[in-house]
Amino acid sequence: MSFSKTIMLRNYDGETFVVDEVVAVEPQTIEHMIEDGCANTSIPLPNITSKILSKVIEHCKKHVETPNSNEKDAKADLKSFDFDFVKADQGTLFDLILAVNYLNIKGLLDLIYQTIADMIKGKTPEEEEEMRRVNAWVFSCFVGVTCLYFKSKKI
Amino acid sequence: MKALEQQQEQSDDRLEQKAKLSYPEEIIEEIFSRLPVKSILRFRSLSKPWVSIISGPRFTKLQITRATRTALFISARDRSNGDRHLFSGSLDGGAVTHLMTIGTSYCPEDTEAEHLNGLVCFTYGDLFHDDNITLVLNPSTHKFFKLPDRVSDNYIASNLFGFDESRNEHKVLNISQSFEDSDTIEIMIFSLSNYSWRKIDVDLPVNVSLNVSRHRWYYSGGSVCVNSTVHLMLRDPLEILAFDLRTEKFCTVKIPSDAVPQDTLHPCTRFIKINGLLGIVSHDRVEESNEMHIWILQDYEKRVWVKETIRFPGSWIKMGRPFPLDSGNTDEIMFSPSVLSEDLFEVPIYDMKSRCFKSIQLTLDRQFVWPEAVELEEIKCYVESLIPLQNQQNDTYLRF
Repeated sequence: MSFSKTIMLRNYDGETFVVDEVVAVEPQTIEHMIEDGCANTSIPLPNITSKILSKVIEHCKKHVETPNSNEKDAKADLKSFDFDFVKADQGTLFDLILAVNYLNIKGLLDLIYQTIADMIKGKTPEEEEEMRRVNAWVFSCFVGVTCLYFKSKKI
Repeated sequence: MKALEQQQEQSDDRLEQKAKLSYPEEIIEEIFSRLPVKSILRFRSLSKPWVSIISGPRFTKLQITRATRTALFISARDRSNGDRHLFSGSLDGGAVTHLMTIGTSYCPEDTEAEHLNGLVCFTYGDLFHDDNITLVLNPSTHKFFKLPDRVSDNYIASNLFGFDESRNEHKVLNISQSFEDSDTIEIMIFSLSNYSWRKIDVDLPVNVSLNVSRHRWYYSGGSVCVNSTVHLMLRDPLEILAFDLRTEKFCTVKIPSDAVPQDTLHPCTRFIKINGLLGIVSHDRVEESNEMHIWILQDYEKRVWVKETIRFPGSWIKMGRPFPLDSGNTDEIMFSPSVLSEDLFEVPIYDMKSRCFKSIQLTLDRQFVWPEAVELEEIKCYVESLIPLQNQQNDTYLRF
């Protein structure tokens, strides 16, 4: 068994994650840090919580480990993994977006963006009106409105 | 019960906290650009910061690069008075949405619709009349712009739609030929970035004949723009005339010898765009063979043509003689519709991968239906976009 290089990621909560280099370079931000030689001891990711970082690593691992073939099975497997991956609660999805945007993982970004877009499209005028009436004060804040959609969905 | 309530409160608090964070604009843009245009337009009215994000040119560009949502642009003729009704529809079928109605004092036979990068160019009028009307529409936003007339009388003119990839702008190419002096043609270009006509000085390729007895020197009935080049079918020789919008020069493209129609009295070739490639349809002897051939220019530089054969599941005549009009999703070809009932039309769609036909059904609103009077003409697939049009209007009834 070959000895593959590992990278240490240190996050917001102070926790350290050890990942194979091949997984760690999925996020372009980390890849660039390694290239620039900033990764001697560990890579600092101060704005990402453990929960989110472990989810991100899980996704990168799965995509690196799945052979990049056009085989139907491999593709279907990945698809079902992705489908389950984004079933997280909305709060987690928002945390993920910030983290994945920072880390710059294109495939995962596309997946989350599309998931959120699918969630918020197609609201009926009644739902929008309800939303407008209940929380007029949040209109000045970007995310406030979007959170509200998800709140109203919980009702 | 209390524990659950507490939990709910806690997560609500966390959401409130998140609400106070500000998210980079790029995240908002990326999410919105993946929404259907209808949703985007609705969101625009919900908050001021969102308006500025959505209305910006950067967002318009982003939205169209994400553009995977295609819809149908449909024109129908009311045979009783010559009015044309324009609709948009979904590739899943269903009721169509009325965009506008155009009426003129005369009842022209010819209309052409061409779509490119989110806009549709609809030409309405007798192509041998001076006063044909050209509209550029964005069916997603329901806005349109009427092209200003070229100042010239006694000319036969055509307006052909194009997109210049080097400047990222839509253009209309106008080719006119004088009635009196049929040896001269004039070329003008209208650019949708500065909204004005510009005359250009360019020669036709040497072998192109402008004097084809009793006929126009090129076939009306469709032009196609691929690779920033507008293509027309010449009569004599039977070749493609190509005008590159980037270099503003003409050249010719030979068509494969198999594609030359056998029936020289009524030669039938027509352009179609498939998967972004130029295609020529020939329906030579389709009635006998129930097969239609489309030659697709797979490699534009090397002029490599690939033949696609479409076998109809039954008698082509019995199917209503469907003719390929446009391609919607990748590898799908839309054919001309057949009438099922007064307000119900069926559009056959051919899948090039599975080599099968399926069909979608479109319904017209009852107000547009008079028995046997309304006929669907053009159906084209366009890509949803937010591209704004200057001096745009959104009247729904135009009278010229």
